[in-house]
Amino acid sequence: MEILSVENLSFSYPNSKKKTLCDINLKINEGKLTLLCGKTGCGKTTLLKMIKKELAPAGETAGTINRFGLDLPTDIGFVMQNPESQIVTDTVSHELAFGLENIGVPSEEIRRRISEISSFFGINSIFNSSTSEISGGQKQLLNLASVIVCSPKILILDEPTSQLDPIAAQEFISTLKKLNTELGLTILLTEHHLEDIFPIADRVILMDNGKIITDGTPRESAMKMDGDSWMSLPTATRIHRSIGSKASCPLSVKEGRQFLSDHFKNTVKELPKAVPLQQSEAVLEIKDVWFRYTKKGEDIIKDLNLTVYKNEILSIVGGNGSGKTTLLNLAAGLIAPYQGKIKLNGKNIKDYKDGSLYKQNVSLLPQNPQLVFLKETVLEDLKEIDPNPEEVIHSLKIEDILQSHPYDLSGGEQQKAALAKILLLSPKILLLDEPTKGIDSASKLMFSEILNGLKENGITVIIVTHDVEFAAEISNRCAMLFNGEIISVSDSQSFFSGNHYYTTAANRMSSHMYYNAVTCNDVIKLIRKNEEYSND
Amino acid sequence: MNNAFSKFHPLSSFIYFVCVIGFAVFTQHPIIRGIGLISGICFFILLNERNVNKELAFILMFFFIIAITNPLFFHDGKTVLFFLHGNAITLESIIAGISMSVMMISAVFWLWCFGIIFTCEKVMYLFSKISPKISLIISMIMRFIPLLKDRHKQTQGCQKAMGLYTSDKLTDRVKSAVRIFSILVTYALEHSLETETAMRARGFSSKKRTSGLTYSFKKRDSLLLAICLTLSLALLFGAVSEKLQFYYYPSLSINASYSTSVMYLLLFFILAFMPVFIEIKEAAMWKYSLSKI
Amino acid sequence: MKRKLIALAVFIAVITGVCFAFNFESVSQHYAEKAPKHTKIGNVTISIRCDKILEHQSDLSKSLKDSNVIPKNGIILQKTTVSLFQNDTVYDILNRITKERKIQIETSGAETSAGSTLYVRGIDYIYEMSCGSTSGWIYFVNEKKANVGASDYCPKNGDDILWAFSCKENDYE
Repeated sequence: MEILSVENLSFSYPNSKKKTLCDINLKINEGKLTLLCGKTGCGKTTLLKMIKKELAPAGETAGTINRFGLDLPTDIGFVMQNPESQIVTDTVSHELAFGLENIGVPSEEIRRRISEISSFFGINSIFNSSTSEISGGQKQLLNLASVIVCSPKILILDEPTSQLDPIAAQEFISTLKKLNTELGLTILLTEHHLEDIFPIADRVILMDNGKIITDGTPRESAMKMDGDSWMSLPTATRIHRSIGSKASCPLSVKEGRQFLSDHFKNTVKELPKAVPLQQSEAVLEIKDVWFRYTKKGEDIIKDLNLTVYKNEILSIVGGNGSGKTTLLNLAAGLIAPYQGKIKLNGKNIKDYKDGSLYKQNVSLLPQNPQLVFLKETVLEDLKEIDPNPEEVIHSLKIEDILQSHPYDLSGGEQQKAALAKILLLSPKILLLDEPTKGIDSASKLMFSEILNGLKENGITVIIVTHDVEFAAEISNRCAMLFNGEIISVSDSQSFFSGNHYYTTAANRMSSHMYYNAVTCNDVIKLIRKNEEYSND
Repeated sequence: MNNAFSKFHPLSSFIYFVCVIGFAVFTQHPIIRGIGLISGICFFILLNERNVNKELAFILMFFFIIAITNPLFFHDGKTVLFFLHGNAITLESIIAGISMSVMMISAVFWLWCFGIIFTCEKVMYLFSKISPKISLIISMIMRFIPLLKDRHKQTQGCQKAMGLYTSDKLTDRVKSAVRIFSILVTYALEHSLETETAMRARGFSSKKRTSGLTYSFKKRDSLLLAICLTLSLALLFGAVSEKLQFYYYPSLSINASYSTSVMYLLLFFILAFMPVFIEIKEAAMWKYSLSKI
Repeated sequence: MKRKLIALAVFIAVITGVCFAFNFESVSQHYAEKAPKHTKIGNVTISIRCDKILEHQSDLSKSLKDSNVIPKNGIILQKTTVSLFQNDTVYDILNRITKERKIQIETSGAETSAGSTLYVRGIDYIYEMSCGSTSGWIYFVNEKKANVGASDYCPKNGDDILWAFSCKENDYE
């Protein structure tokens, strides 16, 4: 049954000639999980906001939106990108009650409904917590729960997992799946990274330039997605598309494994080992370092040893709370270990006085790129460091965002602008904290190109990240941080092919056939090799 | 929180606290103040949330400052002990000082107890009874302050790692503080715009709101309220008819006969020690019911 | 905890130090007759009265009403002849006679400096503002209200000094 229909909808923002939405026709059926994708700026968010009456932007509108039986403001639930800014109140329990209070539900019923929802979402353990002390993933789950508690008839989500780490994102998506399958809730969402959401969607709509260009089942849509949107597809689908197979398109790792076994041989089992980087001189040496935040607190970093060599990209991966960010702050000299030594270019980090540590030496790009900016426009911010920023602007291709306010940029643009400001300090060692959080696949690809360029120019890059796919693509070496200790360090190929769970989707998908295929390209190369081999 | 008193309905326990603190602070009578102090300390120890030893030094210091400064500045009183710099140091003035510091310390203890019993949620509940909007605003502020604090700390760290204005010079430090402050204002505006959108998306409007906070008002709550109000009214009558009046200058004197005084003091004793009785009774009942298992 | 205790000890030491730095007297020492510093130059008369309080009983503070310190006739000191020494001020004379008769007084402000701010707050436990908000001690010399502070007025031989507790403005004129 139809719950929502959009007919010939066109929309343009005031003072803009370009139509943000152009002749959209869309019918949403009850109980379906519909995925809306497309690159940044294609009009997805505007369309979602038009559907939610209270959020509809002002501008020139043509066409109609029919909402069937969606009279209360809470009948359409809406979850946005940033988990932080959607939280209104100070405690988890009050946050859950907020929506119900708005529509005048009696106190006793509010009490009952919020306890019910907290059990359903498994957030009982944080029920009495303050909203400032829970993690980002929990915040977004709370935002979802406090929308669901008002029993919406349709749930709309605008890139809900973009600010979450991959593990929290997976948990969030599995909650969505549970809502859809167990409660039959109608869901309409947009998403950048499709690896987890694609297999569970009933229908995928692709938008470009304000128009719907593809609309069908995930398998149908996957065959039609090109360019930037192709990159965000699940690994299995990308491999299937790249080799131009005629078989049914796999969407998940499970289907991917089946697809490989059914159609390909594994006579050649491994790729030639990557030539290890010449381990020239060590630029950063961390020796037997111990750290804790408070005297009586727990050790966050325990007896940690790590050497970083010149000209390499080192990724440090690990779960939440393993001490990744702390390690980065130690390397940046923002905090000092209570035991052990950190040497930078052979000199103890403590002996760099008066900010000389940060002058043409070490620079840190924080997890949230917004923190880097203090001025009204990007250009002003860049000029603060160096009055002639042209070279960096040119190399990062950020000419057209220079006059914008840093807060108005998209995630990927912010990341680039922040990197530009950091690069103007001409660092020799660049420390990056979760650089791929909140950016789309196209920006991610561009970002890795930039990093490779920096490496060519002799800059050492240390990345801490949750994003194993990115780490596998970009790094020379990878290190695993667990419980404050470095568990293993090796070149990224052997690092990920040695892991069974904490590894890339490509590796999980191909490990039953190939030994060391870590990225999509590795798998494709091996498939081609096997084909050549059998053709010979 | 394993204390019996916090299980009472916020309304009745709030009225109770107002009554006790009101009488302990606004009456002059040194014995009422003394009862207030001892009951406050007993209650605080029973609540057992904090170690009293830790605050002991602070309390003693407080006590001495007030008890000593009063006779240094007030020389009224018939019983002169000695002269300091030509000014009389009198027994009355010393007793008035001690009595005042007892009053202040008892207020401190009772407010600590109040803080333990009255969690944020209970305060919010009371406010929501007056107006759900006020409670929402308070809640939003409580949400916003830690957020801004966090943001400030992060921005500071990030700016430090860029080597901007990080020397120890005063001008640098002031400049850095101003820069960070101005961007925090921008952030606050940006954030509140997004929050406002989220609020509208969740059906917030200026229409009538309800509050999700509920506490059921039980028989024991009405009992506590009744006892508390009866005792308070009796004491209020005593205060209005000046039977609780006590004079420190020029000589210590009370305004009532001995038996009337004793009666009123007894009433206040019952009022002030009520939570202590309740805690002890509950603890005893708990032990008894454990013994039956 | 240790630091707090040390702070407490320092505080108590400071207070005791301050006490000893000041002139410390026992009651008998305070009231003991002291040899005059200057030569006698004549006599003046002095009286202390609070009779206006009797007309304003309703304004009188409860503590004074109950404590029976107000004399029935409103006279604390009958007209008495006292010696006048060189450089004596009205305040010196008041101070000497009240010490002699063991009448309590309290002053505020500096006692010795020239052009002092010295101000009599209470005599015989009767303090300013204890009988209406404008009440307080004032003095007259030869039935004329003086315009300067009591420690700045040097009376002449034969002057008549009156200290009176005024309840309303100009009630002694």
